[in-house]
Amino acid sequence: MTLTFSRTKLGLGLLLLLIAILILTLTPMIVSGFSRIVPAAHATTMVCTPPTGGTPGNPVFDLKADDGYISTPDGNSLYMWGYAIEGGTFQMPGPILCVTQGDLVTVNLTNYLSEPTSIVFPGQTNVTATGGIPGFVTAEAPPQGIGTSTVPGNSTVPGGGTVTYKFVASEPGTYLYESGTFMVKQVEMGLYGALIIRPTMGPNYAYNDASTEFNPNQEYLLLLHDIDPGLHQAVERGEPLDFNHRKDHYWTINGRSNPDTLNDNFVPWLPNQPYSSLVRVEAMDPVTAASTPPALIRYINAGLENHPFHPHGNHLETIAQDGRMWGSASIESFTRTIGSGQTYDLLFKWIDVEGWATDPNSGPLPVTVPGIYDTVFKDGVTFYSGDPDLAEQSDLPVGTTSYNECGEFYYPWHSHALNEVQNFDEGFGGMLTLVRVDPPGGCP
Amino acid sequence: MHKTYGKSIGLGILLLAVALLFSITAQANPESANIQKYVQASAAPLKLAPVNIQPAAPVHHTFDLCATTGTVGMPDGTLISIWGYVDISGGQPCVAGSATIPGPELRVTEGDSVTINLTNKLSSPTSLLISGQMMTASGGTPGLFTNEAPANGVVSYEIASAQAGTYMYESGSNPDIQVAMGLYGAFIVEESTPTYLVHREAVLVMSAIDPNLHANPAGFDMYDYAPTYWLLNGQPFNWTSPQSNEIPVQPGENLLLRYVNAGYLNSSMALLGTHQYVIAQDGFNVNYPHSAVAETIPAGSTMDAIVAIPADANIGGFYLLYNRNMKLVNDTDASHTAGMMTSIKVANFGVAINPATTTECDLTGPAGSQLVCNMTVTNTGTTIDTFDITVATGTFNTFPATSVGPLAPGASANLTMVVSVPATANTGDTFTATVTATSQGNNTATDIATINVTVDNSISPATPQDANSFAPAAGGQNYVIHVQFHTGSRLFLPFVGK
Repeated sequence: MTLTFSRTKLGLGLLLLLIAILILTLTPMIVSGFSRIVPAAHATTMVCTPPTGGTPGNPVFDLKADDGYISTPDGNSLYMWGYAIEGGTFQMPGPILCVTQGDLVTVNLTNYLSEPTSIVFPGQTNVTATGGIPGFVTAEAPPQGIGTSTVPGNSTVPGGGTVTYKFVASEPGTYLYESGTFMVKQVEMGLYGALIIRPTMGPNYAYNDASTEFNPNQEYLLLLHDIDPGLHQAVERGEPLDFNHRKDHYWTINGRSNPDTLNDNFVPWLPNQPYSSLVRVEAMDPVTAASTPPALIRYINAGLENHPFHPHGNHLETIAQDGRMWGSASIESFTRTIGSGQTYDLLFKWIDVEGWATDPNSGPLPVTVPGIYDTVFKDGVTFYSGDPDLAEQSDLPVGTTSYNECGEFYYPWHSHALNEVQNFDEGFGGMLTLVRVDPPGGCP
Repeated sequence: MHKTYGKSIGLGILLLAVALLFSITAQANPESANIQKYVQASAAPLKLAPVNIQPAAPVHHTFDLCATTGTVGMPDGTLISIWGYVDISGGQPCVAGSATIPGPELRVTEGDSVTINLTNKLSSPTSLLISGQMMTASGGTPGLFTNEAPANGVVSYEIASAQAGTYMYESGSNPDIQVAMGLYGAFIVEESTPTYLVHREAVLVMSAIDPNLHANPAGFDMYDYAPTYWLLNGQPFNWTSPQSNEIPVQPGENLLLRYVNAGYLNSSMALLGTHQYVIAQDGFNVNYPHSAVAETIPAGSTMDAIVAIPADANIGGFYLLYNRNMKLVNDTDASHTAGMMTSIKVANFGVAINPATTTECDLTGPAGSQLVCNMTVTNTGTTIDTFDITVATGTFNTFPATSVGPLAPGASANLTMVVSVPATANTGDTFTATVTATSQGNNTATDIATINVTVDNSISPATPQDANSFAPAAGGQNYVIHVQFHTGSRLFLPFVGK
């Protein structure tokens, strides 16, 4: 017992040392135009999937359409269709494709599903498709082994099963990619993903405009989807489908439902749902806030329903929609209804108007962090830190114990169609994540 | 339908000025680069003489509508009983079963005054509302929202000065059932001075059908309302005939989409392949137009968006316009994409009109005869089109002047032209009739055929007429009468006049 404890302490010490080294290594990243030191990326920021081939300026992504399962926090397992890297693990949502404006992007799609499928790129122009079989909207990848026809028994055509899409990433922004084949079924099933086009101005800009500069270590994607598990089961079992009476029971952000949304990227217990959606920012010094780059939040709604979506505790500035800047029409707002198929880009700043910066120990939430072994979860709601609106400074209410690393606070960020904040009738859950606000300078 | 504004030099100067303005606001919007505003609200230093637009004097319009029953066929063959409006202007009768969804498009110009007389041939009271227009009602009986026409009654509505924009007209009586049954339509008020350069437009009335309601409107519980057909302009997408509801547009044109959401759902309409530039909502130009892939049109709302078709767009290509809430199936057909969807088709328009044979329309006949020339009209464009037939007037009356179509790309139709040779024509006279076919999609796409007539002294009219009912057009003319005697018949030929 003592031995175990010592080992743990030793291990913890080593870990802290490692973290300290990492922080020392990463923090001197200077964002151009700003003299401030930008904090390191967190384990919940948007993760781009590297191209599988090509050359600079000509990225190639070899994708597959495949089936698999995702897990939901209530212990359910849902049958899904999704995009993943060819030869890789099934994932939900599809890989986050990040390219640079001007790139000639090639996406090869190999189909492992039982019916033809395709990819369309809403917001992109002059997308060409080669190979595959003709579809109504675009060329489709036939199912493996079927060849040029979906009629069973037709001969296999060499190379069948793959289709190639090419386009020039002409305009920066946040975009959706999704199936263009029998969309009501295939998008519902999960054939969607995010396409990020970075501007020529640089990766720390959302668009080719100085006002869109952001902290590249605080870039977050919140990609929404809604799921009727009855339809998914019917597809899995080959039963009749009734799309006119679909009823959602699961709502996801980046392929996960709350509370899984809060876990880091790539946690091993969610092998098919790699992406976190915890937004993590730092309170900014009010004096230098104006010249400090904000976080960038990229909203995409791949779901079939419109979702009213907002964070608590602060506003955001919407700067673009569907990959096009709003410019002088940019607006501070709180709730934004993300229509089905829409994307929005938002800048997010948390300014430390309470003076947390000057004295961390007497900041808005003077919390003495208990040892991890001393935490007691009073009830299911453990993210309440005492005073959500910062208007009063006081101790935590008696009896509330919070596992809180450094006095940071958390606010919900969720669909305010509140029936969507549940996992098959169990709440909280569903289309809900949190924003974590660290003290100025970050969590020690 | 087809409108082009602005061909003057003043326009060029204004466009340059607008380009300067755009560069000042530095809005990187590639799709909107060609969507110039005619009048920039804050363009004080750029005051130019108004372009070549002279607002017309206000006009008074009277629309006589009738609310009655009708039937619409879905692509799967299902027949749906509807309630809807039918145009009975000009004293036409209101025929039960003739209503359409949506109702007739009512189109006026900003500032015009409008009278809408609504006759009710339904069994329950009905009325008509246009949200966004100042309306007064007269006649009928008082209702919850406005005056109603009782069964077999009439009510009138007046708009003193129509507000520009895209609007919906709909029933204001039991609207939960009556609007769902089909009592809705588009009310379009064109701007007297256009704000944007628009070459072409499409009105898109969005709605839905729950067949169970339509089968039994009196006994249906709206709690169970669950549509299974999703419509644009009264029809869902027909996957067996995908070109049937496409919107043709030419490269380089600005296409104005006027969305009218007459359905019950807020609907996200997405465009694949380019952006749509949202310029107006509920009839008002927005202060900040923006580019969108998808935009939600709330139930009961309207939205105007311009799609700028690139000048280098490929003929035959299309931009899919679809309900992104995926209302994309027709009833129980769970294997085909259909529903609330259409495509904006990059097309060219063309027509050929020719005599059926090379000699078909070189005609010879005597004075007073009617000569027939068979022609074919061929759609040489790449989209469905209808062609107006016009004839250059001359001394030899040539008819009919009508329209041919709609014709699918490459399809032909026969057109029979008749030339009336005046009785006063002299032998040896010649006449050439010019027949022009004009595309309704693009009035610069035309073709011409000629009919050559030579008057001879043959005594046999090309088209014999029944002497019993023959009426000479004028006195002082000679007519040849052939009388055929049958065995046992008796001659009885009363002649009146010469």
